[in-house]
Amino acid sequence: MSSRRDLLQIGAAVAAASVSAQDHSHDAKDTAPSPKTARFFKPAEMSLLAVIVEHILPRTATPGAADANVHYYIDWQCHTSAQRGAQIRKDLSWIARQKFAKASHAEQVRLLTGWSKASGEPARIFQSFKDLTIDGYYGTREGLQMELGWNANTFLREFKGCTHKEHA
Amino acid sequence: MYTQSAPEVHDVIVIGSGAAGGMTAWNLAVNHGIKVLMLDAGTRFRREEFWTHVKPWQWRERIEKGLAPPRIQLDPKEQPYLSKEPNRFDLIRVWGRGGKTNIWGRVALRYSDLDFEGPARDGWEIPWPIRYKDIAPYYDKVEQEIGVCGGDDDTDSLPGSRYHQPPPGFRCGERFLKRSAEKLGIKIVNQRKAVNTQPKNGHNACHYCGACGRGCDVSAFFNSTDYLLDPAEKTGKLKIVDNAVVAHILLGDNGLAKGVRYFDRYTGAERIVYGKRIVLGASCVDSTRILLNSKIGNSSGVIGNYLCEQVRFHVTGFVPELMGTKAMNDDGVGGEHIYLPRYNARDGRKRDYLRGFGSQFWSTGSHASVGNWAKQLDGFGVDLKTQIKRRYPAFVAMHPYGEVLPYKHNRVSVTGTPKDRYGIPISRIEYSIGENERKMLNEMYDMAESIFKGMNAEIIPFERGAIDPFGSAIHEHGTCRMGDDPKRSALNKFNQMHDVRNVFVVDGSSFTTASEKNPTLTILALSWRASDYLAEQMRTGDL
Repeated sequence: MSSRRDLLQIGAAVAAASVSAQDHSHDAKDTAPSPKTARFFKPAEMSLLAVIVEHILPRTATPGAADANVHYYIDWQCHTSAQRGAQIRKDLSWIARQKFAKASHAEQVRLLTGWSKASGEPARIFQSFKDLTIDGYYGTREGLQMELGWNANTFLREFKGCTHKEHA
Repeated sequence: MYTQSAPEVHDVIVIGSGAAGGMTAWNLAVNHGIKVLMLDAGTRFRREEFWTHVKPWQWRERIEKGLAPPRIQLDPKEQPYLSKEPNRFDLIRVWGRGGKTNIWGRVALRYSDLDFEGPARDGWEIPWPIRYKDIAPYYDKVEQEIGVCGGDDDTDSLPGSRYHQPPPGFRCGERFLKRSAEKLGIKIVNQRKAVNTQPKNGHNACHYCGACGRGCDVSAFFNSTDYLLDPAEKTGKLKIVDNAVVAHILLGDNGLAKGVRYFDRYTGAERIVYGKRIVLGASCVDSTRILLNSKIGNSSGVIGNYLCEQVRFHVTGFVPELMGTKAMNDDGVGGEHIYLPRYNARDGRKRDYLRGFGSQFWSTGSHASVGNWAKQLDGFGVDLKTQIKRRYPAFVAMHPYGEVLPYKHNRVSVTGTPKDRYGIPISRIEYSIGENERKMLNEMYDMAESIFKGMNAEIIPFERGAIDPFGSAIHEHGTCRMGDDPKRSALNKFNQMHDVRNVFVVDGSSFTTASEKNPTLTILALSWRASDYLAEQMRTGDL
């Protein structure tokens, strides 16, 4: 059933020019990925951030959060909001003081697990990075398209909806 | 010798270019051949600049490059209004060609006699001066003109139509919601949306990209600019003045309106235009502000009072049978494809509150955001990633809307408010809900929970009784209401002011009650009807 819809999408994409009079040629130019440059965090902070986000949403059969440059997404969020930037830098500094960066992978998992189940400040800090990682990752091609299978915001000639007999 | 020519006196001046103003101008110019001057507070939004087909990750890239999509909503910093916590009212305005129809939710529901007869039946505030039979021919005409998709599955609270275009299919989650509701005896129907699923009147059909909220790049859903104003301009009968922020309607010595004072939005230059008839369609709150600042038409004292829209909330969750399935392209026509019409008048059971509620279901299915639910899942790592992926295609959402009664203390006022950049008092909005709405909310929550439990959904935790901030529905009504009694209403049944008979008010402010429904289709129908009446009055010389 889904393959039928996939085919529809492919066919509709070919037909898109007739559906839309718009010129979307600017998309390619405007959407070429920017070179990734940290604008807020220092290199050591970026490295630590990359480790944290990859722990939260790691590489599996699909890319992980670090593969998807989620640490740069967080950097951008901090770059564009001084208040948020100051808080996240403070939180990152707290994590650094727990000797997180130099810990083994297993030890890092143990630390994160502890914070995720704690209360108070450790829990708040953990949830803050988790929230940012989720926001960041599932807005990327890696997270939304490759991991979740989202393949929309495209051109379809028709929308049949659910054709699963078992859902009727 | 210098001879000063007399200023032009326009046949009709229309204020506002959205659904109300657009329909009025189009009908007068295209169908009646009447010359119209329109004053619009902004300029045209360019479809080719909409970010309709920008993927989420491309969006980020563009933002990082310093690009931005067209700003459609008015920044309250430019035109502030007052609203105090804890009863904050979020006022969404669009100052620009087409107004809110550029980004509206497109839900196009007919009112029924359950709505029009409600106040007369229960005695709360004044009765509507019209019934369904008065407006039904105009619903027919509007639907034929703009294109509305939907089913033939009408109910007593949601009249049907012979003119609906074919509806899009239901998404998987919507089928589960429908089945669960129907097990409880609650009927779910095809949503009615002002989206063309087939080419119509030269407008493109929808291509199901689901990004309607960013503006449609092919104009497949109704917007006032492409569907009404452009054709009207082509007749040569409609002239539009951009960036005209209207301050006052001016009265002549004969008690009739003689013109409009406005300010250029960017230069601040003050201008006056003269007209024989004025039609106000600047949206509920701005029209009310103009009338109050103009001090006209308010011998009844009702203008500004009885502000009403709807209360709403959200219940979300996951359908067990859909967990772990492959994500579908669930964009469709944007928003839900099903609708739950009001049913509480049908079962014969007496309620402890007046009026009723319906429900929408937008966001059901696999969409471009996982939303906040993913953050509520425990843990991290592979397990979290797996849990998110498993739930993603199974997401379902309900958004019940309940009517808020018209209360005198819910109001828009300008007395004692600060002045805007043009020296004109801004609006103050005071709003709260009452016991009636709280009782209704109980049943609304019961309904939502029952439907979710009926399909064994995993319900995302919510706070029972919580509601969206006031104004979130963006359906302001009632502050210049119509009625038969001039002592208790500002307009007659043709949207004409009782006090100043050459002024018409055609936007949501003219509604006597809010109902639980989205108002735009009714605004379009009322505007068409009012402008037919105006044209007839002009033809007979009565106006």
